[in-house]
Amino acid sequence: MNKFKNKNENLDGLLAKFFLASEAKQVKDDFSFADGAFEKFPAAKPAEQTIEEIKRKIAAKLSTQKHISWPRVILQAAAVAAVVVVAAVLTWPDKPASTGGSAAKIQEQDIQLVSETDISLYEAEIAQLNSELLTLNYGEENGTNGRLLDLTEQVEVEIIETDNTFWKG
Amino acid sequence: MPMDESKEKIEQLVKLCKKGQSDGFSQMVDIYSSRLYGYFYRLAGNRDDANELVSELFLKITEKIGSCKSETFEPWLFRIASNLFTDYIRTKKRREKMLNKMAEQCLTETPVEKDDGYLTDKLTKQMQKLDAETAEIIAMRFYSGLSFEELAKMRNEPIGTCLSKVHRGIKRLKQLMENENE
Repeated sequence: MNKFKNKNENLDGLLAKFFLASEAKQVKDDFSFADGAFEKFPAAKPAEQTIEEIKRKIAAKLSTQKHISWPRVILQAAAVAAVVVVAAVLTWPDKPASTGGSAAKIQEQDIQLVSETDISLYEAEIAQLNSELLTLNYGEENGTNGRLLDLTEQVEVEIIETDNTFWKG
Repeated sequence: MPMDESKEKIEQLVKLCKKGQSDGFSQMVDIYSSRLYGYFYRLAGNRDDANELVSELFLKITEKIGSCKSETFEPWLFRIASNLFTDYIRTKKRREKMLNKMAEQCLTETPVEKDDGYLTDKLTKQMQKLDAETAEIIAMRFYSGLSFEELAKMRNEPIGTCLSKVHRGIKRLKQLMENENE
């Protein structure tokens, strides 16, 4: 069997495309020589034992591929999910910046500036509300008791809200 | 060396293998082991390595069969064989380099054993004298049964280049074999 020419391809046409007629003939002769050499000196064949060994290895590999342990897969998936969640929590942008880089330093300075201005405002507001409360408690305000009580409660609520806002920042 | 397995049969076989059927792989080993063994034997020049390479190739196929298109199975199969052989050459060169270095360090006069001792036929012996790429393209053309068009596509080069490389390689091989006769 001529292996260099036996394909379902038009070798003559192909050679004519790339070689001159005289060259194409030489190429065909050389291919025939190669076919002759491959037939005259055939390659060794794989031993029967080798083939059986290959088949055995394939069967073993396929059987391990088929035996998928679902609990193990679920456990592995859960472990991966846990790692992802932890990573997400650690790298979440709202987390307070660490004391490392320059970005963190800038953020700290901003927080300090805002805090200083806000603190004085909140303190003034608390003081004012406190004096209003004292006024109400000591009955220094004119008006009915019921209205006064309502007002007292309202002021107290305001104080608590302001206080909370202050501590939340 | 059966090279005339019908395309339909091969496609059916690939489908079986894709389902993980051991029987499909067994048939595949029966059909292709001789050709693949011949391919590796011509290039490696000894039986032990050819055995190892064929075995490794079939195990690789069991892993990668999912990515194969059944209609282009043979080019796919020989592409993997070619890659495997390239890896083998790299490893062999590294090993030889290391052995030579060790031999120099030990200051021994004993030469590193070469593969020549394993060679059994004239053609294989002369093929070892060709550069790896030339030997590979000749063995590929002979054992894969791929057309020049398929071969060129697989090697990602123009068909004329591929044709010319095979021809130059055969001319050189012819020269080597004739010189040995003289």
